[in-house]
Amino acid sequence: MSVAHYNPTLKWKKVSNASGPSPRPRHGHRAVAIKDLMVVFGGGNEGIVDELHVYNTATNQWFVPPVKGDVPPGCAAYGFVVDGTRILIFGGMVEYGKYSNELYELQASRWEWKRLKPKPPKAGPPPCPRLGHSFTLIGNKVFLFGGLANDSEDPKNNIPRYLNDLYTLELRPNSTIMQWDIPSCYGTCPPPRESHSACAMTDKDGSNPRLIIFGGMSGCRLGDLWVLHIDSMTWSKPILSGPPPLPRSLHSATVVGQRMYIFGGWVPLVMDDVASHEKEWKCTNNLSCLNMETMMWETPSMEVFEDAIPRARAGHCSVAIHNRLWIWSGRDGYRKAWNNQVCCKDLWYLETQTPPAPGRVQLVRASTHYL
Amino acid sequence: DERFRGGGLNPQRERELALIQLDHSYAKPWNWRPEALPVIKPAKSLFMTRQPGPPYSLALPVNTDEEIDVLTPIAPNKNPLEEKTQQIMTECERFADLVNPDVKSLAQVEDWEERVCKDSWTTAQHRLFNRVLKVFHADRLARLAQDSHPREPIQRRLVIDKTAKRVRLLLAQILWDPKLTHWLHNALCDNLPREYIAIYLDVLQTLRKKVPELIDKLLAGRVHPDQYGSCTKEGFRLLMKRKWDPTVAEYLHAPKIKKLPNNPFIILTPSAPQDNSQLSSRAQMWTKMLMTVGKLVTITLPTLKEADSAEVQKTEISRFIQRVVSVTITRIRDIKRSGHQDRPIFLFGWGVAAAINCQIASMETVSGCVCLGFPLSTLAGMRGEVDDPCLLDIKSPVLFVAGQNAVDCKPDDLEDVREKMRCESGLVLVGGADFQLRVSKHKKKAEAITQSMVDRAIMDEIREFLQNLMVPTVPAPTAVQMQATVMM
Repeated sequence: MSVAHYNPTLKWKKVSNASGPSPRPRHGHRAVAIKDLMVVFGGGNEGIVDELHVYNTATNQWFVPPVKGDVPPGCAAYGFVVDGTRILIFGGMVEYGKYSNELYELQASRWEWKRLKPKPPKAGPPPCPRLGHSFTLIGNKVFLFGGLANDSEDPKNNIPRYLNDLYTLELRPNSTIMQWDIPSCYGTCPPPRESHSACAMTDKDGSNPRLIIFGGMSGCRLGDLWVLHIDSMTWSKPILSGPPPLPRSLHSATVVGQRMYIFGGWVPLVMDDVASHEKEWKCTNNLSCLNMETMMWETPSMEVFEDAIPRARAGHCSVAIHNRLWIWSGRDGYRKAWNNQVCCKDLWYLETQTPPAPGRVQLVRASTHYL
Repeated sequence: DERFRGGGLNPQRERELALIQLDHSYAKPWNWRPEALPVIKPAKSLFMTRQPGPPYSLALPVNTDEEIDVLTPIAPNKNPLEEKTQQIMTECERFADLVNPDVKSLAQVEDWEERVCKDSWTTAQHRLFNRVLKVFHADRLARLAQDSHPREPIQRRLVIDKTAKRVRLLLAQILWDPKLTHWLHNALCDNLPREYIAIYLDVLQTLRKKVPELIDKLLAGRVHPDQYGSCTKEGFRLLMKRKWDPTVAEYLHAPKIKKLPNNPFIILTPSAPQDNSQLSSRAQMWTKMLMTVGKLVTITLPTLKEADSAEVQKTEISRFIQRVVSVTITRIRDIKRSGHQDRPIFLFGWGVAAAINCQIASMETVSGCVCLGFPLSTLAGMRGEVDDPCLLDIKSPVLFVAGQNAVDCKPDDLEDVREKMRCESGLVLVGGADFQLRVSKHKKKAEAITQSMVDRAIMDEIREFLQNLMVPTVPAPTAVQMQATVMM
């Protein structure tokens, strides 16, 4: 328990009065960060969104960049990664409920879309159409894991299949020629799942890259955590200490420093017999934090005021920009009596590290300047 | 993973699918249509299943230990309407009793068949008489079998129709030879016992409606009851004039077809060049029913000349259709111009006319379009395909009435077309009916219905559809929905 000294008080802050055209509330969208920008694409709510929205955290401003090229159809629960200013999207659900396995590239410096046709892997077929998969950039490779496939061609008939396949896609600078690869792994692979989270993590010195898979859905909500060590391509299921978060899916997991923050998602309402017959779920606004150095779940103490915490939600997006964790939209459960589910339209950030106290020098300078 | 691949639906899989749907409800559903487009009303079916209420009361004692009385018939619940219907049904019998009390009943002359003097008969006469008698025997047996059946009048009507059809066939086989038919008429009148005279009268009455001239000729030779004075002669003439309908009494008491609000114009387009003076009794009934709901406007065009060659007739047909369209559109515009803006205009047509109406409705705005027996399959393929944009262009609401067994319009195909159409549409499916919405005889017998009952039921559906068009039925947003909007 010597490591339990870390117990900072974290604080959510709601961002109001952002200027610019604010995007339609939705869920199943994704976001990536490019410097101060949060780039949001896709998602939907009874109609999939195909617009690209960008939020500038420095100026508190939304804008819609003018895109060109092979603009992709809107998609939801897809894979979204960024490498510098190059953004890739893969798969997800397109309009009218069809699953996709298409890959598009967005060059954010020119806001130009391009459809990519990676070659199939040498050892097998290309990844099947899917949604709720994870798409994570580690080094110069994107890791595609799991998701949900539909074995039926007929849109009226859904034959779901949960996946646990792993593909990689190597990115070469200034080249759009790509090839899927099915890497051979060691150890026990995680069981099939979708709407899990996957984070890339390294040690402080940048060594020991890892892929962290947490939670997801495979008929019931999962709460297990798996690590793929990229150097050795070995799966492991580490033993964790501390109070684990509830099993969940459609949550967000964001790495800030050496910690992975899990926020929101669907959690079981009754915890008695999770595996056998979960019947009720609810959205949560719970925040959990895994310290990757100590492999310990930490419960951050929150400043709890009225309205000081985002409403419970799932299918939201999250990005880390500097030390702040940003979340936007998502939906807060489902009310059967209502015709429409309700999506949140609020933007929040979490200050993960107490900002340094204003330095004396600064004050002096300010006063000097002022004088 | 067999759990997910198993074809059969099991609760586990159902639950999973519901969950996936719940979790990933981003997209519009696969069958999504913009909300601004009007509703496809769910198909209604008429006479698709057996009518409630079995022919004989099934109210058997529940207690199985109890001794079941199989000897005493269970008295069916008498409907007050039935007495009236019974009266209508037995009219011919009563007439037979009334005009000639001397004619012996079967009970008095059990051996009447043997007493018929056949000495001077020819072979043809023998054959005809025996055949007709065979038909009458069958009718008599059917009447006895249906005695005190809860829906006896309807079953009786169906039997008489069948008997009349068979007699007509026999007479047609001798080409309605005037000599032979006169002879037959006399032989029957002289020899039949009272019950059989009633059957014969029923047959004559029924056939009079179908082949009036032939029956008039048949009766002209010697009118059987003429020996009983002018009073009965007049009575006989009246009896022959109309065919009894078991549903008349029901309609007398049933709520009348009410006029639609605003007295709409109902434009009846013809499906072929026709002579309106020779309407079938069914067409007459429809005309009457349409006249009760609104102002009926009948589009008529002169008939084709029979002498024209097939080629001419063919071009005439296409010209005819064009003329129907242009005349109808002119009529609609006239109505609109004549200051009847508040009175709706409905198009009404059977078969080909229904298709013509759809064409008209895609060119000129009307308040609604009723298609009876719509010919969906044509020689050139299905209507409503991409290359036949007429149906898809209609903006006025359309009601289809289709027979379950129609060869040119499969209900499933019609539903597919309805899904593609951009207008509000309704569908009434008539069980066991053909492309002209005529119900098969088996269906009639099984359900104890007549064609006029079916037509009346169809009319009620049409009226309801048209009335709903005139009264906007869009429900105001409920409090819950409004709350939801506010919360957004």
